[in-house]
Amino acid sequence: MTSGTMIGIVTFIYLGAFSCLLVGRLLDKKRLANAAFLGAVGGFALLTAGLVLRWRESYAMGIGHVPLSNFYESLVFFSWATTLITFAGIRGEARNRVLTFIMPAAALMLGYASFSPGIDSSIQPLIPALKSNWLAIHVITCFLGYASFIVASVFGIFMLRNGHTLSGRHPWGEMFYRCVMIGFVFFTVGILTGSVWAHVAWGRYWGWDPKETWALITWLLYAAVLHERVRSGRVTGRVIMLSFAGLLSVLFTYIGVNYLPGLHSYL
Amino acid sequence: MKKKGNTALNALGSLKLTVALILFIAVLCVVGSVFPQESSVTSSGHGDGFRIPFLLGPYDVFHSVWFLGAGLLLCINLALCMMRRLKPKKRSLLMLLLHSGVLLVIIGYAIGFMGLDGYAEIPEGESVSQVVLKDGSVYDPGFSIRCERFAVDFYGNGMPREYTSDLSFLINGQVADRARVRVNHPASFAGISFYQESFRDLLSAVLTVSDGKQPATFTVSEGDIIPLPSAGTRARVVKIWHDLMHAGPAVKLLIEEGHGGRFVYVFRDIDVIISKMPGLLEAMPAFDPSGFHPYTFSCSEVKHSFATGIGVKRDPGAPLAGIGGAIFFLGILLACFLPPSSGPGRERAPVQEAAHGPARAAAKSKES
Repeated sequence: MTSGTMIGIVTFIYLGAFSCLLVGRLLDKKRLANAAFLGAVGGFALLTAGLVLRWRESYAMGIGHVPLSNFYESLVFFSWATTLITFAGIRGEARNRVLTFIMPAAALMLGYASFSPGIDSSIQPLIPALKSNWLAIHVITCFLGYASFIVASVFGIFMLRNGHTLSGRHPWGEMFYRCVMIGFVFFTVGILTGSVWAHVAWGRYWGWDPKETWALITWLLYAAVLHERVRSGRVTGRVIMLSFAGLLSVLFTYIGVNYLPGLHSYL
Repeated sequence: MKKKGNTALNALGSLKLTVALILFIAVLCVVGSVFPQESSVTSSGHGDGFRIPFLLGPYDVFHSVWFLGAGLLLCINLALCMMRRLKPKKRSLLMLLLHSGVLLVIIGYAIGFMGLDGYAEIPEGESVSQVVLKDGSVYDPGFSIRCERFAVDFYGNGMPREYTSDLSFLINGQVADRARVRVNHPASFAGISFYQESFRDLLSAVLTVSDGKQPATFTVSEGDIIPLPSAGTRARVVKIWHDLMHAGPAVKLLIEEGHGGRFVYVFRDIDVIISKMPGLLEAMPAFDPSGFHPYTFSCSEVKHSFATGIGVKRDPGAPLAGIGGAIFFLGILLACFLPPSSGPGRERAPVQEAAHGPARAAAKSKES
C-alpha cells in the first residue's frame, strides 16, 4: 500500500469517528463516543505510519526529504498536528467534546489534500531554496502552533455557547489559555526559525514578504489575546473574539497569502 | 499638574494601549501585505540615507510615519510597562526578560537600516567592483568580485537541484580569497555576506563579416554594434539563439538603413539548410547571408555562458535581533512553566486609567 492510499483512508476513519461522536453525543451514548475516540486514535496511528512511509518512499526515489515540502504534505501534516495536540493536551470529559470539532476539520484537510484535483500529491525533489536543515523545524513548529490555535478556538466556542460570563477559573478558560500559550510558543519558534533560515537563504531575516507579514499579524493577534486576558484577569468574550480573529489570520497566513505575490509560493 | 502628568504616564504604560497598538500595527500589516510595496525605500543607509515618507499612501506602509510611530509608541509603552511592573517576583522578572527581548528585536531591526543591501550580476569569468543598491545607486565595497564559474545542476525530472557560483574576491587585482556560494550556503568576505540569488543565460556568437576584400571576426553579445564601413552603416545584434526553428544556432542582426532598417538572420549551418531546402533564400531574403551588399555574414559558433546574480549584504543589527529573539524564546518558554498571572483585579490600576487612557496618551505624545 502506498502512503497516499493510507492517508486517503484516514480521511474516512476520521469522518466515521466524527459521525459516531456526533451520534454518541446526541443520543447520550458514552460508549459509542468512546469507541469513536479509539477509532480516531487508530486513524492517527495510520496517518503517522503514512507520513513515515512517504518519508521512506522519497528516500527510495533517491530524493529523500521530510514530507513537509509542498501543499499536499503540509495539509497532511496540519491534520496530523491538530489531532496530536488534541490527544496530547486534553484529558477527561472535554476530550470527546473537542474531538467532535477537531475530527471534521482534520478530515477536511486530509480529504482536500487527497481528493482535490488541484493538488499534486506526487513526491517531488526539493528545489535549492528548500534544501536546508531549517525546513523541518520551521514547518513543524509553525503547524504545531496553528494546530494549538485551532484547539484553543474550540474551547473559545464552548465558552461562548455556555455564557462566557462564568466567573472565576472555569476549566475551559484554563484550557483555552493553555492552548493559546502553547500555540504562541510554537508559532514564535516557527517565526524565529523561519527568520534565521531567511537570513541564511536570502540574506535578510525579515523582508515583509506577505507570508512573513501575515505570520506577524497572526502573532500580534495572539499577543493581543494574551495581553487582553492579563488586562481583564480572565478569559472574557473580547479575549475569545480576538482569538477567533487570530484563527482567521492563521487561515489567511496558511492559504490566503498564496493569492498575494511573494517568495513563499511553494507552500 | 503632577497628577495629570502621572495619569498620562500611566496611560502610556497601560495594557489597554498595548492591545490597541498591537491591533493598530496588525491592521497596518494587513494593508501592507495587500498593496504591493515599493522596494526602493527599503534600501540601506548609503547614499542619501533612508527617507521616511510622510504620506497616507498604502504603498510603503512599513516605512510610513504611522507604522514607525506606532512601533516607537509600542516600545515606550513596553518600557513603561516593564518599569511599573518590576517587582522582585519570579514572574515579574521573567516578563521583564521576555519583553526586553522584543525591544532588542525592534532595535536590532532599526540598526539594520544602516547596513548594506545590494546586488551584483557577474558574467562568468568577469569581475565587478560595484554593487547596485535597492534604490538604484551604486556602492563600492573596496574590492572586486569575480565569478570564476557558475553551474546549474538538475534532477532527472528537469527541476533545478543546485545553483553554484565560484567567486574570487580581488583587492588591487590580487585574489584575496575564494568562496563557493550556493542557495542556503552564503559566503562572507570583509564583513560582507554573499548570497546566491539568481542567474541569467548569456549567449555570445562568433561572427565573421566580409565586404569582399577584408573579412573581420567579432565575438558579440545581444545589443552589441558591428561597424559596416563599406556600406556606411552599422548592424546591431538583436538576438542570439542556441537553436532557432530546429535549424541550429543563429544570430539576428538589424542593419541600420535610413530611418528604418532591415533584418538579417545569420545561421551557422546555412549551407546545410539550403541543401535541404533549395529555394529558401528566394522565399526568405532575410536568411540570405549575402543579402546586404557588399557584405557576407557568417557565424562559426554560438557560445553559452551564465551571469550569476549575487546578493551583497551586511546587517549590523542582525546579531542584536538574534539575541533578542533568543531571549524572547527563553522567556516565553519559562513562562509556560509558571502559573498564569493574575486573578481578577490584579490589573485594576491600569484598567481604571484606561477608560480615557489612549486619547490622553496620544495627546501627550503630540505635545512632546
